[in-house]
Amino acid sequence: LRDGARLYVFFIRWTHNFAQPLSQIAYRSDVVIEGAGDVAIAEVRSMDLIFIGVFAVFFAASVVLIPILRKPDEQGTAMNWIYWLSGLAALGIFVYLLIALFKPELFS
Amino acid sequence: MNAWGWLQLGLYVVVLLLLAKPLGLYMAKVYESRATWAQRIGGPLERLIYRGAGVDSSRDMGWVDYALSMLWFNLVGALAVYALQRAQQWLPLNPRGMGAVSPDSAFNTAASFITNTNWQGYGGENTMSYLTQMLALVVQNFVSAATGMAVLVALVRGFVRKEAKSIGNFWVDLTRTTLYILLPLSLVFALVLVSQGAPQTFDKYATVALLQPVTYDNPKNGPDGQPLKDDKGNPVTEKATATEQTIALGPVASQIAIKQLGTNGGGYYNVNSAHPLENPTPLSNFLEMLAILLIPAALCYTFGRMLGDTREGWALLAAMTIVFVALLPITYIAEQSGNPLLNKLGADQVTSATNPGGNMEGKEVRFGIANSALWATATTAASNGSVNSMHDSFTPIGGLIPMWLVQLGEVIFGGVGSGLYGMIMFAVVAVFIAGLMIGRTPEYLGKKIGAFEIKMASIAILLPPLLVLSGTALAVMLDAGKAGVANPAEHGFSEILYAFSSAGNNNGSAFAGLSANTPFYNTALGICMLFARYWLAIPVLALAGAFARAKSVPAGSGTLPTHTPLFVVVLISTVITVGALTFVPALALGPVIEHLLLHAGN
Repeated sequence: LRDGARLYVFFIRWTHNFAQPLSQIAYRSDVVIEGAGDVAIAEVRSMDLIFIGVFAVFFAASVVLIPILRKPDEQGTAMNWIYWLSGLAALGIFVYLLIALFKPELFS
Repeated sequence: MNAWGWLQLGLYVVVLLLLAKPLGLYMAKVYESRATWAQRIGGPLERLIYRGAGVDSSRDMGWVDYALSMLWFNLVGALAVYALQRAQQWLPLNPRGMGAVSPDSAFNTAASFITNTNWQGYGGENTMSYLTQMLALVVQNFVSAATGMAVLVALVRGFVRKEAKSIGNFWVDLTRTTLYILLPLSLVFALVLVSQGAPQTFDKYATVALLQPVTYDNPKNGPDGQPLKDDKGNPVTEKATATEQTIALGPVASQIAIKQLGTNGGGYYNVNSAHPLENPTPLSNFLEMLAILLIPAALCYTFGRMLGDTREGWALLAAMTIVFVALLPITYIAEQSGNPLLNKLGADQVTSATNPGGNMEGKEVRFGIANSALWATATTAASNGSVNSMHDSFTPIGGLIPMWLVQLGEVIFGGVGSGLYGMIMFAVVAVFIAGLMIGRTPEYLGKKIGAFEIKMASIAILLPPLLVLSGTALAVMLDAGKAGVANPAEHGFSEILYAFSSAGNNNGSAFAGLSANTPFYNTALGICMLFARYWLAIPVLALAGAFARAKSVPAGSGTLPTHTPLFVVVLISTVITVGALTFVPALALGPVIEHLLLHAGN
């Protein structure tokens, strides 16, 4: 969790401060790159977790969207276990990313 | 402008409309299980796929199951495309020894290809192995197109069925679309492209001797691999002489065929269909342009056929064609008129037997202005995104039209499936507005349009502008967004607006000029593409489910006929009004002001 949060904050800062393609300096997944401030070093390989996390959050959130869009007259259970599981997963990852962004010290 | 230019534009539209009916009829038969000869040939393979995947093809799904199947299938596709790019250095069919694609670029490309956007922040021949091109990108070219067509067919079934709980089976629709429509067409088209000179090989890149050595200034890099700069900030260069050239090869033709037919647009080469091996001849150029709009146009006929009233399909096709034909000449005339500032410098921009005239910057001399303008209009009308010229080099008005066509929501032909279901969303709104005008309960194709239906249609129509405008606003506020702009002021704004328009409407073409292969753009555009694809498809499926459950209302004296010229006008007005209200202010800050400044001599 700590490393993931540090990487995430590093990534957000990178996107806000640099336009340089990450691919130019970190083309290979085993190259170590340097960050700034309280996030000193991050391995590019771990960036994979962030992007896979984005996919996971998006698709889980999309699954949650489905029962919200059900017409009132539609029969059947509005929320079954797959919606709840997807919703909780999306919410959990989202809250984690928010905390990591605004309170990274909690993971230090 | 000359007669040959206009003739080519006219010929294109005529051939397109002539092909719409036979292909549309065939597709209707596929979806209604009446394509007997095709199913006789492909039936065993189809059944094998179902057996292997554990699919019960006889089980129909409600819209919720249909949407869930679509989402899970696409999530798996996203992870597979991401993993293949990140691991390509360890995988076979990589004769150039391409390294792993960077995480942000791999994310962007995965999001781009599963959503049928095919925005490319990378250069294909310098980044992707043969295996990645084939197994990740081409596979998604097929299945993302098939996903869009499956959602459309589910919506059509919603109109056709009465008091039903199901709208079809996603896996069956996906398989049949791929097996009976996309694969045969792509196979034939790939062979035609090979006959024109497009490569289809696993051989290594070829190295050939230049007929004439070329001397050039080569930028010097420091030990860190970054370009060196002198005290004044200019790049440090050294003289170099090239005596040989590397020609990128690979399984090109097969990728180009589905890239056009599936309105994907993701090219094998970095410059897309401006590359002589991706688009070798004028004939390949014409056929590729035709392939872009072929299935979207034909699906209109399929729609009418499956409804049992082909006039409904013709009405939608007429609306699309009228907007397309109205906007196409604007691009052509703007480009052929050239740049007024160059006239003052003495440049000859007049068409003659030896000079195409007009604005030839960024265009292939092989194709000229008419075919460049036609391609730009077709590729942005459809959500294709492939290019045979650089839109960034178009005149301000010439570039405005492609950008606005994207911003109209990709409903003027649009993507395969997605374009038509987007247009049907506009039709639902148009019927609702017209119903309010004549004081009757709005109905469309026998289904009542109530609050729920309008909410779903509104989500589908208003989400893309929200993504485009908020994304553009974010980019122009952040340093990371502004740093990617190659041109200052209004043209730079156009570059950013175009990028988010392209991603937020799943088009995929680029204005160029914007360095978008950065973490900021890769991530922001990738997220836009995901929302634009799935949060439109889910409301459409919800609508399909609601229509299927509803009773069919017989047409009465108060019913607005939706196959008449009057309705076509109402529909076009709705599309144009929404497009104008949402995007004209942004366009005024980009291409409009650039046009005014250009003609003021600045």
